Amino acid sequence: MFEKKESLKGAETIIGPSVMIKGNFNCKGNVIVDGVLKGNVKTYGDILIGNKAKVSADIEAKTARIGGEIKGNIKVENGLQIVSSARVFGDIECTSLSVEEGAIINGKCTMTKGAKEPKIEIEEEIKKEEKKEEKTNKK
Amino acid sequence: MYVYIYDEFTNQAKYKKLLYKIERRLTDLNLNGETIRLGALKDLKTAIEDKIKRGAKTIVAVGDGQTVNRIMNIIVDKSREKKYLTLGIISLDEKINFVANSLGIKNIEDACDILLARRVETFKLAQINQGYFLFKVNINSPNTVLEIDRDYAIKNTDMANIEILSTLNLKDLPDTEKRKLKLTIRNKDGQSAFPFNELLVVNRDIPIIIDDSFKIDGPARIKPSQEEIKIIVGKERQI
Repeated sequence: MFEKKESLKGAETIIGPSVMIKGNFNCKGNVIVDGVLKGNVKTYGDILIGNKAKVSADIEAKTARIGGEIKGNIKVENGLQIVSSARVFGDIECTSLSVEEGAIINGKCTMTKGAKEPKIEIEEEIKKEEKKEEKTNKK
Repeated sequence: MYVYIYDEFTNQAKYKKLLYKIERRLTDLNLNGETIRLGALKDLKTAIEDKIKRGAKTIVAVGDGQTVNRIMNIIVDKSREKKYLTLGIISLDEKINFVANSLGIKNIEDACDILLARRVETFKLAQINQGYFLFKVNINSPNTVLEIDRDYAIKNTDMANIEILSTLNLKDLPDTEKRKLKLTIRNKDGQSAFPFNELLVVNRDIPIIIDDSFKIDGPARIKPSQEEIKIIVGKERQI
């Protein structure tokens, strides 16, 4: 999906530098954002937010690579990469997450699918521990 | 039956030799037909409709890119009932005629031979306001505001070349891009690209160049249309 260089294969839509977009941006294919975007972005494909991009929008995509500034929530069906130049001010929801050193994230992070919350029954745990200690003491 | 429509500017003295050359070549190839000369004529549409009623099947635009577009728009209207109507082109443009060149019609000698060879292709048309265009629309002004699919607006903040390309006649396109037009914005920083169904150029009095041939003023609404036209093309067609 994302190569080492900031690029996205077969991007249907490219928002270059010096271009400002305002409104609800919906599309089916891959999207690259290097300019300014205000509103909402939804795609069935992958999205790449470039290092110099400024986005004030909620983003929904299949996968995403974030390099610029985002003020808004990010919801991704699969993987989310947040690179060192990224500044994210909003909540994140994804199934897999990678964050580079230097990235800034201010918001809630929810990992969906496959991440079960562990059931901690404290009393049972304490009883198990006590039984172990007794056995050790008897020996 | 062929009908040759000579644009008004071809009445100038400098085109006299060229026109003589064309008419001689058409005679040699047995492609003579009826002639309409714009200038004295007030209503081109009625004149063409009259010829079509009398059996004209091929209308040949003799002039430049704007001549082609003007005649094309009239033929498209009539093509809905008369599917056999075909457009031919003889270019007298002093500069390179983008439309003729793209259709493989490079010079006058070739144009007459191409009419004889009669290689006919059907082209889907894109619509701009009440008219149609074949290939592209260009805008070269800063601070242009474009509304896309009534969903979002784009503003280019720098001087940029804005091009709206009709991809309706391109064959190797993925399904997601068929029946859509493509907007490209090029400036010193890079390039942007957007497929769309409908685009509105919001700015008033902004020059909009159609098929590299002539200008109209904004605002303009651009979208794919259901209309088609048959055109006689050369072997070395580029688009």
